[in-house]
Amino acid sequence: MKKEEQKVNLTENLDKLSKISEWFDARDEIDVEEGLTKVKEAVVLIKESKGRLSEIENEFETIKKDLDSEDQGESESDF
Amino acid sequence: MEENKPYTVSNYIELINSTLEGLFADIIGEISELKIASSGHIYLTLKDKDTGYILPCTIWKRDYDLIAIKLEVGMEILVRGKPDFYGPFGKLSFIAKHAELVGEGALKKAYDELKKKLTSEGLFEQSRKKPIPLFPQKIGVITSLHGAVIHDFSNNLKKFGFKVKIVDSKVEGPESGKFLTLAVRYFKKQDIDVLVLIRGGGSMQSLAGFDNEALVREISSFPVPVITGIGHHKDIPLATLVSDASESTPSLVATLLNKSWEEAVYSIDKKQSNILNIYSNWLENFSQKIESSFRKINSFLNNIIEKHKKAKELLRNATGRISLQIRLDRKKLIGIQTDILSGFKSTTEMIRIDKIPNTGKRIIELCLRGCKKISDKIKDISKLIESNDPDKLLKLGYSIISNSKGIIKSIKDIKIGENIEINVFDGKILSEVKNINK
Repeated sequence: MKKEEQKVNLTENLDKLSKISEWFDARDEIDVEEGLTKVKEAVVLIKESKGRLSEIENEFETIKKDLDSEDQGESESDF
Repeated sequence: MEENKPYTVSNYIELINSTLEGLFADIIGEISELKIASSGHIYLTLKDKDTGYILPCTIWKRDYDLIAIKLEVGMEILVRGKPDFYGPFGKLSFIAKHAELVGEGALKKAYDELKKKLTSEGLFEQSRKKPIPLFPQKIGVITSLHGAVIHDFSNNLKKFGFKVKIVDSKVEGPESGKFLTLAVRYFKKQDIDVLVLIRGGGSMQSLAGFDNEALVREISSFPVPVITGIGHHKDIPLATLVSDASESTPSLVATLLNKSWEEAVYSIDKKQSNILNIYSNWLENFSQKIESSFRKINSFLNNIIEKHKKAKELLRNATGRISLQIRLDRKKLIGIQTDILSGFKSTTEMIRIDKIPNTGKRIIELCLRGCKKISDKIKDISKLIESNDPDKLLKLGYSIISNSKGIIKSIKDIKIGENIEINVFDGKILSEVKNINK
């Protein structure tokens, strides 16, 4: 997996995108300049997030655990 | 060892134990005696119900904790292990690594009792369950690598870059409880986002490992959420009850892990559409407002140009009328002058020959009348001139524009870049033509 993909925090990105979307929803008056700034910000977040959500191969690692190796020596000292 | 040389006791006991190594077996019997030592080790006697023969057994504390069955005298159990001759006491004992209850009825009874006990402790309460984190990536999986389960799980896990660590564990029968518990303990020390326990369906005996008390307690205290996907029929495995989330199959567990990732794809598409649609509408509205403003300004300018044209026409007409009036008035003045001179001449003549009595007085009267007539006429002309005076029109805000060739009456008279002179009432403005519109 690429380093950039690992850095993307999807939770944060989605949160920021939600806030931008809400900002547009809540606006009664048109503010083209600020709107453009928000759109630019959203485009970066969307691009990053979609990059992370694109197909990335899964990695599988099998742990061959020898449980018996954890056995400890016991003695019958209780007898 | 040399032939015929006697063994020491210790050597012989070693020989016995090495021989006994191969006697690993499952043994069924009834517990006739049971002792739990202060160390926690279990010492019990298994009795053959038919012959009454007995076999001393030992279960070390560590194994007993993992077996997680409360053994009691009278229970019929199966033990799995091997015999060992303990030198210090000169005693043979069967060392059981595993013990389980025998028969579905016993299992069901143990299941019900344990479920009741753990329920009373609140281990299955909804409030204890941890939420599955968004975008889980590091997944711990405990299952058997033999069989289709792991393939069903991994094939249904979509490609979101999951990092899956799998511990191969026994999952079959009561004995699997020990291995499952140890596997969960192993993952407690690993950096994972979520732990998954999966296996296919089976009978109560087959799934008994997932009813292991030690396993249930390990899951209950596990630091990250645990998801189970254990197929079952009637009685829900206790591991499923205590887990933070459960699905009926391993495939559905994979689907659950995919969920937040898939929702993110949908959510991003939706937000993208919302943001861009709103902004696009804004731009369209903004463009319409600009267009509307442009139309208003254009109309205003056209209005001014139209008024200017009318003023120019008015000025031209007024100038024409003034010139005509001046010409007419000049003629009248010349007529009056002629009349006065003629009258004056005849009067002088009459005075000279003294034909008229009181001539002097009449002359004065005639002169006064003539003067008044002239004065009235001059007043009328002054008023007319004043009313059409170009200066007055200039004071009203009109102006006369001229270039080097004279007064500009048409756009044809000027060129872009040409210098023009704008005459207003109190002076001149020098300007340059930037644009010409029809």
